[in-house]
Amino acid sequence: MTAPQTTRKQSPIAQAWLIMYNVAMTAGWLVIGLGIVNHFYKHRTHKGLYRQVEKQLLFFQTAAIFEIIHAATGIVRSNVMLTTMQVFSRVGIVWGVIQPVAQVHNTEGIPMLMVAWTITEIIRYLYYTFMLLGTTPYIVVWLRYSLFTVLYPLGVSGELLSIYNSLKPVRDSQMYSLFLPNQLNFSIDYHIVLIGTIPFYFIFFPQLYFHMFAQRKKLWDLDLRLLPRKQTDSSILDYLIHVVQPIRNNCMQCEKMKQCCVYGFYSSIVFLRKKMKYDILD
Amino acid sequence: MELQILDSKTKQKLCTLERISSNTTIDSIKEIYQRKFPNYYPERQSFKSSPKGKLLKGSETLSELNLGAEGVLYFKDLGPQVGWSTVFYCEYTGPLFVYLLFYFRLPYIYDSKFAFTSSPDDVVHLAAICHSFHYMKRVLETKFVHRFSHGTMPIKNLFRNCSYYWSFAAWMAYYINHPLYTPATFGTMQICSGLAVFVLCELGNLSIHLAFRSLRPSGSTQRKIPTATGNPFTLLFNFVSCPNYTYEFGSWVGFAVMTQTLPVFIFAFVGFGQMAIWALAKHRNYKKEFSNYPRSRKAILPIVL
Repeated sequence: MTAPQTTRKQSPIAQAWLIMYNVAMTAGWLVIGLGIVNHFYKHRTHKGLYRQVEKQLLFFQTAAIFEIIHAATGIVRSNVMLTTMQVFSRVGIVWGVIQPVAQVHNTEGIPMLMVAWTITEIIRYLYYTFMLLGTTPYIVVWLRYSLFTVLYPLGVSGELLSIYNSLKPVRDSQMYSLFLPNQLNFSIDYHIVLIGTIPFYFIFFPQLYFHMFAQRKKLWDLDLRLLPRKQTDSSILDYLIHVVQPIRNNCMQCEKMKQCCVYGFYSSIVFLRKKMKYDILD
Repeated sequence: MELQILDSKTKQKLCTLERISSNTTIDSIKEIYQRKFPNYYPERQSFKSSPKGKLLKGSETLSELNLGAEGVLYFKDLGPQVGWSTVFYCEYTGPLFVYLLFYFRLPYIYDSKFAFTSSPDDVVHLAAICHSFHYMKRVLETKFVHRFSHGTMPIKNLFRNCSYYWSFAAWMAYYINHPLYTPATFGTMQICSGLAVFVLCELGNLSIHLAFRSLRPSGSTQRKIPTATGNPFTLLFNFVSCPNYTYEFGSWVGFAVMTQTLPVFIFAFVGFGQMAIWALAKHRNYKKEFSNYPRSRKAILPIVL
């Protein structure tokens, strides 16, 4: 999620703490993962899953608050604001939507977000641990920068679904709400607050998602040994270019070339091909 | 000399100005630049002597900048600009109207049976008078009292500032004028003390604004340390650099106590946060500029901050 931690001139205490923290978090999420697998193996249903892993989830997800402190004190090179937003959105969902609303526990959003979060967090904390220790196996890097493409949408969908499922119970129970008249002359309807959080998902998800793609591209660009440049013309884009080439040659003689969509299509493929210097589509 | 103008981000050459004498000021450069690019009025232009350097002041001359034989200046477009007075008028008249929409209980805000009704509580009428007085005072100060050293600000500030003032006015007005409004727990005593604090702080705020105005007569560029004048409200200068902000915060706290409404307290504290940032910066500038600046003075809260 956030930029990888770096071990520049760091105090040994800070380093030791970070290693312990990341190892503990990796272990914690592994335990949660095992709990999920165990539950599905025994019961074959997502019902009861949350109750099975609730205590560990609450503990380890809340412990992510430390990452804000890490960013704020500078022992981890991450943007404080970004980290705060990410941690608070997770902690907010857990303590504001899932834990207090029992009716949400057996809905479909829960296994979705549990799977997404668990896999993402195990890999993320494992990645940080290895970065701190100095040697990062290629497989961990690859997993971190590839699985998000599926897990991030899965997690966000699970969260949105859970919020949606919590709306009616929250409205009926009037939880976390204050109504007029009262001495503060103030009112807040938690049901409306929850609805109000939904647009933010649509605003921020694209930005964060494509930010990860950009990070990924930077990574491949930086470290050539991670993914060798293909010499042969074997990617889908090259094949498309090969197919459209004869038409394109005709286009060059046509007066209406710039307005034509065929030429536009060709140009966009060439542009994409240039942008993706390394063949990941193969 | 010849002056090349480059874009400060892309470093592309935008134009070359010829036959520029070395004692030309940046202001004159801006006028010349506008003749070449009529869309860029001077307030929108900014020049720097290095791509990441500071913005150059209008009065600086080319010779002071040590540009050398081949002069290069970097240009940055500040975006569409709007005058400070314009922004102030917009952001202050908004709350006047918005509050009154709620005070007169226009339809569709509250339940339809309350449309155009009037509150039975006196404090609600008092609050409408106070709130309107506050913003009326601000509008009049903008017209007659304030002197702005910068002419303009980027237009997006207009939207941002207006959203802040207008939204908060609506939020406060909604609860104060609500049919289910609950007056102060401690009754008339609380209302009167809140009102007294509000009135005194409004007068204090006005006094400080007038004191700032008389500190530097119009046209002069002399900068002086602000001190207490004959007006007793200005004695706060002995304790803080920006007593206008202190009084402003005091006004809203008084208003909050009088109306006993949480959103007003929140507004007071959010405003305080922003004003504290400004006050600390001003305080730092004063101390840097005047070696004999009174050491016991704080920025915004006596003794504390």
